Amino acid sequence: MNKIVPQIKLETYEKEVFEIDLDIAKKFGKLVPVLQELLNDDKPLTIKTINSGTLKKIITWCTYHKDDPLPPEDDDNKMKHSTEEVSSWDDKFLQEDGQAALFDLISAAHTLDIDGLLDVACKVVATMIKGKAPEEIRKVFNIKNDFTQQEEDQVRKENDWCED
Amino acid sequence: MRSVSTSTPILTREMVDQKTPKVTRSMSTGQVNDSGFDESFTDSCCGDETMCMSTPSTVCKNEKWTPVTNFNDMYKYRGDSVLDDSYTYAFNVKVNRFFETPGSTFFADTIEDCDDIRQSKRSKRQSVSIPSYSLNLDLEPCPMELGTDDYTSSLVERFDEVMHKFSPIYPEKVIGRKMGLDHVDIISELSDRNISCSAILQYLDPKDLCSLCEVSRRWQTVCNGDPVSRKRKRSITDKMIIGKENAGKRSPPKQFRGLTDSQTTLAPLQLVGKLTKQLTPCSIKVNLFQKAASSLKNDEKLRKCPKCSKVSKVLPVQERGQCQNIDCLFDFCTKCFYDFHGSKPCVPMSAKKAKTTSIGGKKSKKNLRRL
Repeated sequence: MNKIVPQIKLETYEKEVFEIDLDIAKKFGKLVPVLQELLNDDKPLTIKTINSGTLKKIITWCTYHKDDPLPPEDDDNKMKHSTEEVSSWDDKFLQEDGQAALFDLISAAHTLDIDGLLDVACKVVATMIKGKAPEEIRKVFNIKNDFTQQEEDQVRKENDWCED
Repeated sequence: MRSVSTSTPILTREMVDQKTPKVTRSMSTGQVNDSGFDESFTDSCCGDETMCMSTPSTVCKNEKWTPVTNFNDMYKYRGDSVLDDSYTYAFNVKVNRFFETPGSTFFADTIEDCDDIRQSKRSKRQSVSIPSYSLNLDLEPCPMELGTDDYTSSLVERFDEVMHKFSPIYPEKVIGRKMGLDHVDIISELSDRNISCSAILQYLDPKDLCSLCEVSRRWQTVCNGDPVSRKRKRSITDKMIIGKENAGKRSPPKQFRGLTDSQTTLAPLQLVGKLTKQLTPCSIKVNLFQKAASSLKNDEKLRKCPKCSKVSKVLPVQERGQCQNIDCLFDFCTKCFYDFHGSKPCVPMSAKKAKTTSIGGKKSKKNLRRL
């Protein structure tokens, strides 16, 4: 069955044009209101703030998760504080290109309103922080400790019962 | 222009005041003419006056002039004798520019230069909010208009507008520029872009939130800026405080709970107690007594009021006590603890009782009949 899948065109920062299946484009929350318009229009929609590499990754992710059921909308589910349900594929996919790519995906997912990707990426970041001491976290993200000794003592004093 | 520089330059007082630093500086180097001022100084002053005449209301506002450090250059600019209204506005804008960066050495000789400076500064200062800008010649096209030119479809247009409005339009902020870096301070970067980190923070335990706060100032701000996380963090820290031994010393002062609530008349008296560290009902009373004792006269004594058991003053000579509690104000005899009865002898307890419950009296008979 050779049904032609309707496609929309997106242009990235580098002026590269991507053709995306409508099903996948529906995952982009920001695009949903204008999808019909875009289908009739031949011109690509320019997203100047996202570069090709990031968009490619987003499309890969969306393609993989194309058939995912929509997440249940109740708030109880949303506030789950566990990071367990990140699938191994997601984990690998999000971490393979380093933290920069992960960060890009988060901001792009935020810009384009892709809830699923944003959730998963945030969970991955949370896993990176989880259960680590401040010094370890600094190491992971390469952060300079800009507290003075006095301030550090103060903060530690405030929080020290958490570290027992 | 130079001919105006007489020994009494025509200046308003404010102008002289503003230029005083300039005078002191140029005196050492510049030529001094008969006015006692440096030539350049008087020149520039005259320049001011010419400007004043052309557009007194817009230009001659003192505060606009103050930050300009080098009046010679401004005079050069004015020296082109272009003083019609539009140029004055341009000049006005320039002055505003200077006002933004006092001490800047960037000055223009011509209007074209003026534009150049504007161009070169545009990249540095992106938020321009000078009202007179709109009056001016060409100037910056609004970034919103850039993207909408070639689209006719209203929806796409709107989407594009939104994208432009809410996402960074400068190349350095394009998502993906850091691709390949191994370490990125994700939390700080996200908050730089005004993206809420609460999505990440919600997956963390309160314990993790605590250590997150200790990473750097930035992270601390981010963590404390998120109301939900702060609440969760608080919840665990509070719990830990309660669980800890000797927590009393450490915990922040709990709200004081006195014997009466704060609206009653005793509240000010309780405040006396509040000042001391350990507050028990007992110490409050001690305080009250101490306070009353300080205002005692020679032969007066303190005693508990028989009704409200608060402080009362007793005059032993008169055998009379007066409660100091404003609510009570009981005036009593110190012997029988009934109302003060002056010089009459105290009515004995038994007599009083007999009065009310006389057996076989008229009243009791009446009561019996009722049964």
